[in-house]
Amino acid sequence: MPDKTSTDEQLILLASSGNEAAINALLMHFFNPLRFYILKNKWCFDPILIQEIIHQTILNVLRAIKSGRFKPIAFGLFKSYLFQTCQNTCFEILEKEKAAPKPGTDCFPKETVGLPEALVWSRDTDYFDYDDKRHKLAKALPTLTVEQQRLIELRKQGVHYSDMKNDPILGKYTIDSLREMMYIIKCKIRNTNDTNENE
Amino acid sequence: MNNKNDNCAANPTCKKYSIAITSFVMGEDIGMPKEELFEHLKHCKTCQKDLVDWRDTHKVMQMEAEAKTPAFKQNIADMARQIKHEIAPPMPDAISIVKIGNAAGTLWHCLGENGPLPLTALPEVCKLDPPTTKDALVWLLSEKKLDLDEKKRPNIVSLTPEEQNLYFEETGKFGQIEG
Repeated sequence: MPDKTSTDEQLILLASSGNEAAINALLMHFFNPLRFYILKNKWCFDPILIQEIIHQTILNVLRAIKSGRFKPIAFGLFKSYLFQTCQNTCFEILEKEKAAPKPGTDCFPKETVGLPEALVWSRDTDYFDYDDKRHKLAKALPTLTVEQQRLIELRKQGVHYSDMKNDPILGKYTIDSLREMMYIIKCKIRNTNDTNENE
Repeated sequence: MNNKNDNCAANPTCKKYSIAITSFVMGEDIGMPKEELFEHLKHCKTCQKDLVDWRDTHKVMQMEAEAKTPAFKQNIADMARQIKHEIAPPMPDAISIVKIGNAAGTLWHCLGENGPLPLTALPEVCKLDPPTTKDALVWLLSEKKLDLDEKKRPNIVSLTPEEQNLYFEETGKFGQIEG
Protein backbone atom coordinates (compact mmCIF):
# COMPACT_ATOMS: atom_id res chain seq x y z
CA MET A 1 0.00 0.00 0.00
CA PRO A 2 1.15 3.57 -0.59
CA ASP A 3 2.48 5.40 2.47
CA LYS A 4 -0.34 6.95 4.52
CA THR A 5 1.40 10.30 4.45
CA SER A 6 1.54 10.39 0.66
CA THR A 7 -0.42 13.31 -0.68
CA ASP A 8 -3.22 13.02 -3.18
CA GLU A 9 -0.92 14.32 -5.93
CA GLN A 10 1.64 11.63 -5.18
CA LEU A 11 -1.10 9.03 -5.21
CA ILE A 12 -2.24 10.18 -8.65
CA LEU A 13 1.31 10.14 -10.01
CA LEU A 14 1.90 6.67 -8.54
CA ALA A 15 -1.33 5.44 -10.10
CA SER A 16 -0.37 6.84 -13.50
CA SER A 17 2.90 4.91 -13.34
CA GLY A 18 0.90 1.69 -12.98
CA ASN A 19 1.08 1.13 -9.19
CA GLU A 20 -1.80 -1.25 -8.47
CA ALA A 21 -2.30 -0.20 -4.83
CA ALA A 22 -2.49 3.46 -5.87
CA ILE A 23 -4.98 2.68 -8.64
CA ASN A 24 -7.02 0.70 -6.13
CA ALA A 25 -7.00 3.61 -3.66
CA LEU A 26 -7.99 6.01 -6.43
CA LEU A 27 -10.86 3.76 -7.50
CA MET A 28 -12.05 3.31 -3.90
CA HIS A 29 -12.16 7.10 -3.60
CA PHE A 30 -13.77 7.94 -6.93
CA PHE A 31 -15.85 4.95 -8.04
CA ASN A 32 -18.99 5.97 -6.14
CA PRO A 33 -18.76 9.73 -6.81
CA LEU A 34 -18.40 9.01 -10.55
CA ARG A 35 -21.28 6.51 -10.44
CA PHE A 36 -23.40 9.06 -8.58
CA TYR A 37 -22.49 11.75 -11.14
CA ILE A 38 -23.55 9.54 -14.06
CA LEU A 39 -26.75 8.41 -12.35
CA LYS A 40 -27.74 11.86 -11.18
CA ASN A 41 -27.31 13.29 -14.65
CA LYS A 42 -29.39 10.36 -15.94
CA TRP A 43 -26.87 9.60 -18.68
CA CYS A 44 -26.94 5.88 -18.04
CA PHE A 45 -28.69 3.43 -15.72
CA ASP A 46 -27.07 0.16 -16.81
CA PRO A 47 -24.67 -0.91 -14.00
CA ILE A 48 -22.40 -2.85 -16.38
CA LEU A 49 -22.14 0.09 -18.76
CA ILE A 50 -21.53 2.48 -15.85
CA GLN A 51 -18.68 0.29 -14.67
CA GLU A 52 -17.21 0.29 -18.18
CA ILE A 53 -17.48 4.09 -18.34
CA ILE A 54 -15.68 4.49 -14.99
CA HIS A 55 -12.98 2.00 -16.01
CA GLN A 56 -12.36 3.87 -19.27
CA THR A 57 -12.46 7.27 -17.52
CA ILE A 58 -9.76 6.32 -15.01
CA LEU A 59 -7.70 4.75 -17.78
CA ASN A 60 -7.99 7.85 -19.99
CA VAL A 61 -7.02 10.18 -17.15
CA LEU A 62 -4.04 8.09 -16.04
CA ARG A 63 -2.84 7.78 -19.65
CA ALA A 64 -3.14 11.55 -20.08
CA ILE A 65 -0.99 12.07 -16.98
CA LYS A 66 1.52 9.45 -18.07
CA SER A 67 1.91 10.99 -21.51
CA GLY A 68 2.25 14.49 -20.05
CA ARG A 69 -0.93 15.81 -21.69
CA PHE A 70 -2.29 16.66 -18.25
CA LYS A 71 -0.35 17.70 -15.16
CA PRO A 72 -2.20 17.17 -11.86
CA ILE A 73 -0.63 20.13 -10.08
CA ALA A 74 -3.56 20.32 -7.64
CA PHE A 75 -6.08 17.77 -6.42
CA GLY A 76 -9.00 20.08 -7.26
CA LEU A 77 -7.74 20.39 -10.81
CA PHE A 78 -7.46 16.63 -11.03
CA LYS A 79 -11.04 16.22 -9.82
CA SER A 80 -12.46 18.63 -12.34
CA TYR A 81 -10.42 16.97 -15.14
CA LEU A 82 -11.60 13.55 -13.98
CA PHE A 83 -15.29 14.46 -14.00
CA GLN A 84 -15.04 16.24 -17.35
CA THR A 85 -13.31 13.16 -18.79
CA CYS A 86 -16.06 11.04 -17.27
CA GLN A 87 -18.69 13.07 -19.12
CA ASN A 88 -16.81 12.81 -22.44
CA THR A 89 -16.12 9.10 -22.01
CA CYS A 90 -19.72 8.50 -21.04
CA PHE A 91 -21.03 10.03 -24.26
CA GLU A 92 -18.39 8.26 -26.38
CA ILE A 93 -19.35 4.88 -24.96
CA LEU A 94 -23.08 5.56 -25.10
CA GLU A 95 -22.70 6.72 -28.71
CA LYS A 96 -20.99 3.42 -29.55
CA GLU A 97 -23.73 1.53 -27.73
CA LYS A 98 -26.35 3.67 -29.49
CA ALA A 99 -27.71 4.52 -26.07
CA ALA A 100 -26.93 8.24 -25.83
CA PRO A 101 -29.72 10.08 -24.02
CA LYS A 102 -31.78 12.45 -26.14
CA PRO A 103 -33.48 15.62 -24.89
CA GLY A 104 -37.01 15.28 -23.62
CA THR A 105 -38.55 12.22 -22.09
CA ASP A 106 -35.76 9.96 -23.38
CA CYS A 107 -33.74 11.30 -20.46
CA PHE A 108 -35.92 9.32 -18.10
CA PRO A 109 -36.67 5.66 -17.87
CA LYS A 110 -40.26 5.07 -19.03
CA GLU A 111 -41.55 4.38 -15.56
CA THR A 112 -40.52 7.82 -14.24
CA VAL A 113 -42.36 9.89 -16.85
CA GLY A 114 -45.17 11.75 -15.11
CA LEU A 115 -43.63 11.13 -11.69
CA PRO A 116 -41.92 13.83 -9.59
CA GLU A 117 -38.60 12.56 -10.95
CA ALA A 118 -39.31 14.41 -14.20
CA LEU A 119 -40.27 17.57 -12.31
CA VAL A 120 -37.07 17.87 -10.37
CA TRP A 121 -34.50 16.81 -12.93
CA SER A 122 -31.71 19.32 -13.25
CA ARG A 123 -28.81 19.48 -15.70
CA ASP A 124 -26.48 21.42 -13.45
CA THR A 125 -25.27 18.56 -11.31
CA ASP A 126 -22.25 19.50 -9.28
CA TYR A 127 -19.60 16.82 -8.96
CA PHE A 128 -18.95 17.86 -5.36
CA ASP A 129 -22.47 16.67 -4.44
CA TYR A 130 -21.39 13.18 -3.46
CA ASP A 131 -18.60 14.29 -1.14
CA ASP A 132 -20.78 16.97 0.45
CA LYS A 133 -23.48 14.42 1.21
CA ARG A 134 -20.96 11.86 2.41
CA HIS A 135 -19.43 14.31 4.88
CA LYS A 136 -22.85 15.38 6.14
CA LEU A 137 -23.81 11.73 6.71
CA ALA A 138 -20.54 10.98 8.46
CA LYS A 139 -21.19 13.88 10.84
CA ALA A 140 -24.88 13.28 11.40
CA LEU A 141 -25.12 9.50 11.81
CA PRO A 142 -23.17 9.27 15.10
CA THR A 143 -25.51 11.87 16.64
CA LEU A 144 -28.62 9.73 16.10
CA THR A 145 -30.38 7.88 18.91
CA VAL A 146 -30.12 4.09 19.22
CA GLU A 147 -33.59 3.67 17.67
CA GLN A 148 -32.76 5.98 14.78
CA GLN A 149 -29.49 4.19 14.09
CA ARG A 150 -31.31 0.85 14.17
CA LEU A 151 -33.86 2.19 11.69
CA ILE A 152 -31.10 3.26 9.30
CA GLU A 153 -29.37 -0.10 9.72
CA LEU A 154 -32.53 -2.06 8.90
CA ARG A 155 -33.35 0.16 5.94
CA LYS A 156 -29.83 -0.40 4.55
CA GLN A 157 -30.62 -4.12 4.67
CA GLY A 158 -33.80 -3.40 2.70
CA VAL A 159 -36.23 -4.16 5.57
CA HIS A 160 -39.56 -2.38 5.15
CA TYR A 161 -41.36 -0.60 8.01
CA SER A 162 -44.09 -3.24 7.99
CA ASP A 163 -41.50 -5.99 8.62
CA MET A 164 -39.98 -4.30 11.68
CA LYS A 165 -42.69 -5.53 14.05
CA ASN A 166 -40.47 -8.30 15.46
CA ASP A 167 -37.40 -6.16 15.92
CA PRO A 168 -36.39 -5.91 19.61
CA ILE A 169 -35.70 -2.18 19.36
CA LEU A 170 -38.22 -0.94 16.80
CA GLY A 171 -41.02 -3.52 17.33
CA LYS A 172 -42.96 -1.19 19.63
CA TYR A 173 -43.28 1.56 17.00
CA THR A 174 -46.18 1.88 14.58
CA ILE A 175 -45.55 2.43 10.88
CA ASP A 176 -46.57 6.07 11.28
CA SER A 177 -44.03 6.61 14.07
CA LEU A 178 -41.33 4.94 11.97
CA ARG A 179 -42.17 7.30 9.10
CA GLU A 180 -41.92 10.24 11.49
CA MET A 181 -38.63 8.90 12.88
CA MET A 182 -37.15 8.68 9.39
CA TYR A 183 -38.32 12.22 8.73
CA ILE A 184 -36.51 13.38 11.86
CA ILE A 185 -33.36 11.57 10.68
CA LYS A 186 -33.65 13.32 7.34
CA CYS A 187 -33.95 16.69 9.07
CA LYS A 188 -30.97 15.96 11.31
CA ILE A 189 -28.82 15.09 8.31
CA ARG A 190 -29.98 18.15 6.39
CA ASN A 191 -29.41 20.51 9.30
CA THR A 192 -25.93 19.20 9.97
CA ASN A 193 -23.33 21.85 9.29
CA ASP A 194 -21.15 20.64 6.48
CA THR A 195 -17.59 21.75 6.85
CA ASN A 196 -15.59 19.66 4.48
CA GLU A 197 -11.96 19.92 5.45
CA ASN A 198 -10.71 18.00 2.41
CA GLU A 199 -11.91 20.41 -0.25
CA MET B 1 -36.71 14.75 22.67
CA ASN B 2 -37.43 17.22 19.90
CA ASN B 3 -35.20 20.12 19.00
CA LYS B 4 -34.96 22.55 16.09
CA ASN B 5 -32.98 20.02 14.05
CA ASP B 6 -35.92 17.60 14.08
CA ASN B 7 -38.02 19.70 11.75
CA CYS B 8 -37.00 20.78 8.29
CA ALA B 9 -40.29 21.55 6.59
CA ALA B 10 -40.74 25.15 5.44
CA ASN B 11 -44.26 25.38 6.90
CA PRO B 12 -46.68 23.12 8.82
CA THR B 13 -48.58 22.17 5.64
CA CYS B 14 -45.41 20.95 4.04
CA LYS B 15 -44.46 18.77 7.02
CA LYS B 16 -46.88 15.94 6.10
CA TYR B 17 -45.64 16.05 2.49
CA SER B 18 -42.03 16.09 3.64
CA ILE B 19 -42.74 12.93 5.69
CA ALA B 20 -44.38 11.38 2.62
CA ILE B 21 -41.39 12.34 0.44
CA THR B 22 -39.05 10.63 2.92
CA SER B 23 -41.01 7.38 2.55
CA PHE B 24 -41.53 7.78 -1.22
CA VAL B 25 -37.79 7.96 -1.93
CA MET B 26 -37.21 4.86 0.19
CA GLY B 27 -39.89 2.87 -1.59
CA GLU B 28 -42.12 2.74 1.51
CA ASP B 29 -45.87 3.30 1.74
CA ILE B 30 -46.24 7.09 1.90
CA GLY B 31 -49.40 7.15 4.02
CA MET B 32 -51.43 9.23 1.55
CA PRO B 33 -52.56 8.84 -2.08
CA LYS B 34 -49.60 9.31 -4.42
CA GLU B 35 -51.66 11.68 -6.56
CA GLU B 36 -52.00 14.04 -3.60
CA LEU B 37 -48.23 14.17 -3.09
CA PHE B 38 -47.53 14.61 -6.80
CA GLU B 39 -50.10 17.40 -7.07
CA HIS B 40 -48.47 19.22 -4.13
CA LEU B 41 -45.01 18.71 -5.67
CA LYS B 42 -46.10 20.36 -8.91
CA HIS B 43 -46.59 23.66 -7.11
CA CYS B 44 -44.23 23.57 -4.12
CA LYS B 45 -40.63 24.40 -4.98
CA THR B 46 -39.50 23.75 -1.38
CA CYS B 47 -40.81 20.20 -1.49
CA GLN B 48 -39.25 19.66 -4.93
CA LYS B 49 -35.92 20.67 -3.42
CA ASP B 50 -36.63 18.38 -0.46
CA LEU B 51 -37.26 15.47 -2.85
CA VAL B 52 -34.00 16.04 -4.77
CA ASP B 53 -31.97 16.47 -1.61
CA TRP B 54 -33.33 13.40 0.16
CA ARG B 55 -33.16 11.23 -2.98
CA ASP B 56 -29.47 12.11 -3.34
CA THR B 57 -28.73 11.64 0.36
CA HIS B 58 -30.49 8.28 0.31
CA LYS B 59 -28.51 7.20 -2.78
CA VAL B 60 -25.23 8.23 -1.15
CA MET B 61 -26.22 6.32 1.98
CA GLN B 62 -26.86 3.19 -0.10
CA MET B 63 -23.59 3.57 -2.03
CA GLU B 64 -21.58 4.11 1.14
CA ALA B 65 -23.08 0.95 2.65
CA GLU B 66 -22.31 -0.97 -0.55
CA ALA B 67 -18.70 0.29 -0.56
CA LYS B 68 -18.09 -1.58 2.70
CA THR B 69 -19.08 -4.99 1.27
CA PRO B 70 -16.39 -7.53 0.27
CA ALA B 71 -18.00 -7.88 -3.19
CA PHE B 72 -17.51 -4.17 -3.88
CA LYS B 73 -13.89 -4.24 -2.69
CA GLN B 74 -13.20 -7.30 -4.83
CA ASN B 75 -14.73 -5.60 -7.86
CA ILE B 76 -12.53 -2.54 -7.33
CA ALA B 77 -9.43 -4.72 -6.88
CA ASP B 78 -10.19 -6.55 -10.15
CA MET B 79 -10.68 -3.26 -11.96
CA ALA B 80 -7.42 -1.85 -10.54
CA ARG B 81 -5.51 -4.94 -11.72
CA GLN B 82 -6.98 -4.62 -15.20
CA ILE B 83 -6.19 -0.88 -15.39
CA LYS B 84 -2.63 -1.55 -14.21
CA HIS B 85 -2.08 -4.03 -17.05
CA GLU B 86 -3.56 -1.62 -19.56
CA ILE B 87 -1.33 1.26 -18.39
CA ALA B 88 1.86 -0.70 -17.97
CA PRO B 89 1.81 -4.05 -19.77
CA PRO B 90 3.80 -6.67 -17.83
CA MET B 91 7.33 -7.47 -19.02
CA PRO B 92 7.59 -10.81 -20.80
CA ASP B 93 9.55 -13.40 -18.80
CA ALA B 94 11.67 -14.32 -21.84
CA ILE B 95 12.60 -12.83 -25.21
CA SER B 96 13.83 -14.60 -28.33
CA ILE B 97 16.66 -12.88 -30.20
CA VAL B 98 16.08 -15.18 -33.16
CA LYS B 99 12.41 -14.17 -33.28
CA ILE B 100 13.25 -10.45 -33.13
CA GLY B 101 16.02 -10.91 -35.73
CA ASN B 102 13.63 -12.70 -38.07
CA ALA B 103 11.01 -9.98 -37.53
CA ALA B 104 13.66 -7.33 -38.32
CA GLY B 105 14.38 -9.17 -41.59
CA THR B 106 10.66 -9.30 -42.42
CA LEU B 107 10.29 -5.61 -41.64
CA TRP B 108 13.36 -4.71 -43.77
CA HIS B 109 11.93 -6.62 -46.76
CA CYS B 110 8.47 -5.18 -46.19
CA LEU B 111 9.80 -1.59 -46.20
CA GLY B 112 11.98 -2.34 -49.24
CA GLU B 113 8.98 -3.72 -51.08
CA ASN B 114 6.43 -1.05 -50.07
CA GLY B 115 8.57 2.03 -49.58
CA PRO B 116 7.91 4.57 -46.78
CA LEU B 117 5.07 3.52 -44.46
CA PRO B 118 3.25 5.14 -41.52
CA LEU B 119 4.39 3.71 -38.21
CA THR B 120 0.86 2.65 -37.26
CA ALA B 121 0.40 0.69 -40.50
CA LEU B 122 3.52 -1.45 -40.09
CA PRO B 123 1.99 -4.37 -38.14
CA GLU B 124 -0.82 -4.80 -40.66
CA VAL B 125 1.22 -4.33 -43.85
CA CYS B 126 4.17 -6.42 -42.65
CA LYS B 127 1.96 -9.01 -40.93
CA LEU B 128 3.70 -8.78 -37.55
CA ASP B 129 2.14 -8.31 -34.13
CA PRO B 130 2.64 -4.78 -32.65
CA PRO B 131 5.10 -5.69 -29.84
CA THR B 132 7.31 -7.67 -32.24
CA THR B 133 7.12 -4.83 -34.79
CA LYS B 134 8.33 -2.45 -32.09
CA ASP B 135 11.25 -4.75 -31.21
CA ALA B 136 12.17 -5.13 -34.88
CA LEU B 137 12.01 -1.36 -35.41
CA VAL B 138 14.37 -0.74 -32.50
CA TRP B 139 16.74 -3.37 -33.92
CA LEU B 140 16.82 -1.78 -37.39
CA LEU B 141 17.01 1.78 -36.04
CA SER B 142 19.97 0.87 -33.83
CA GLU B 143 21.73 -0.56 -36.90
CA LYS B 144 20.99 2.73 -38.75
CA LYS B 145 19.07 0.94 -41.49
CA LEU B 146 15.94 3.09 -41.17
CA ASP B 147 14.92 6.73 -41.59
CA LEU B 148 12.19 8.06 -39.32
CA ASP B 149 10.24 11.20 -40.23
CA GLU B 150 9.27 12.44 -36.76
CA LYS B 151 7.61 15.61 -38.05
CA LYS B 152 4.65 13.69 -39.39
CA ARG B 153 1.87 12.07 -37.37
CA PRO B 154 1.95 9.12 -37.48
CA ASN B 155 5.72 9.01 -38.03
CA ILE B 156 6.81 7.74 -41.44
CA VAL B 157 9.34 4.92 -41.56
CA SER B 158 11.49 4.02 -44.56
CA LEU B 159 14.76 2.26 -45.35
CA THR B 160 17.76 4.58 -45.68
CA PRO B 161 18.66 5.22 -49.36
CA GLU B 162 21.66 2.84 -49.03
CA GLU B 163 19.48 0.07 -47.61
CA GLN B 164 16.83 0.67 -50.26
CA ASN B 165 19.48 0.27 -52.97
CA LEU B 166 20.73 -2.86 -51.24
CA TYR B 167 17.17 -4.22 -51.30
CA PHE B 168 16.92 -3.51 -55.04
CA GLU B 169 20.26 -5.19 -55.67
CA GLU B 170 19.30 -8.24 -53.62
CA THR B 171 15.88 -8.72 -55.14
CA GLY B 172 16.52 -7.37 -58.61
CA LYS B 173 13.45 -5.14 -58.33
CA PHE B 174 14.48 -1.80 -59.81
CA GLY B 175 12.50 1.34 -60.42
CA GLN B 176 9.38 0.34 -58.56
CA ILE B 177 9.69 2.98 -55.88
CA GLU B 178 10.00 6.57 -56.98
CA GLY B 179 12.20 9.10 -55.16
